[in-house]
Amino acid sequence: MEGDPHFFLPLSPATLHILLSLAGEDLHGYGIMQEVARQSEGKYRLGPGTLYDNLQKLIQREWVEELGRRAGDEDPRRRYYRLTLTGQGVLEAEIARLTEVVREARSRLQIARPSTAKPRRA
Amino acid sequence: MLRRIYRCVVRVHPPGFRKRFGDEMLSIFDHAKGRLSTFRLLMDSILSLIRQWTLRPEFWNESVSAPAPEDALDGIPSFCTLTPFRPRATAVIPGLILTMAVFSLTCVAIKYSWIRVLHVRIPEVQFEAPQWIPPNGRPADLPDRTTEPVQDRSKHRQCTCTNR
Repeated sequence: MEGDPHFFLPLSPATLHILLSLAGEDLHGYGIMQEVARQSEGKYRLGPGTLYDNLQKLIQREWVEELGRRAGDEDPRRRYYRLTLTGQGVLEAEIARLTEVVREARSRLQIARPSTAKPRRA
Repeated sequence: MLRRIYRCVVRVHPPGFRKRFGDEMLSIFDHAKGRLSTFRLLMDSILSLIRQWTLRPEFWNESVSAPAPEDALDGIPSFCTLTPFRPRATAVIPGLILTMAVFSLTCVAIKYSWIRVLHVRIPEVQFEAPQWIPPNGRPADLPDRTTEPVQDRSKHRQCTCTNR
């Protein structure tokens, strides 16, 4: 049951943004925070506490793997993280779900639009 | 000042979390600019502290990097003989209280024992001093016990131990 990515859906906003930021490239914690802020145009900001709490969970689920430190980095305390294939599968499942939600929402809004128009007087 | 407080808050996180992410949290704090953002980070760390201690007991004692069992050079797998068992923090506190209570009761029991209350006198045991026999000594050199004056026999009854 837990092998099925749909078991974990829907993802929390923090998890979704972290997975999304790691989908492009391997990043360290501070990089993930900056990427999340960029993706959401500054509307969603992750604090380090929330970030590492989620990363801890994601590493345990093996959606994200820790790569360790990189030589020659600006700050030697930084560790890099990478999205695993399992994590990628979950992210794809979540994006498919969200796409379906958006499609459904658009179709409903199109149906609802005429009814919101003011009734004509005879 | 804020950095010092932040460091203290990071330090009191559960050991597993602190060892794994403590340095990185401090690194992020060092990169923050402005008093407002550092204050936000401090608030975030306090929330994180509460969350880790209340909602994440499974990560309290997580090791920094769980090493996988490695194969020995000769191909024979090595075995872990000791399980990394550690009691839960919540179990340690009642254990400490219970230990202190038992220790206090034992101390009180020793101080006000029934022997003292009932005035029961425990006879004292005395040992005789070891006798020194010269290297070429004969048994005749030993003091003759038969000529000893008869002393309080009750004392001899109490002390029956002799060194041979």
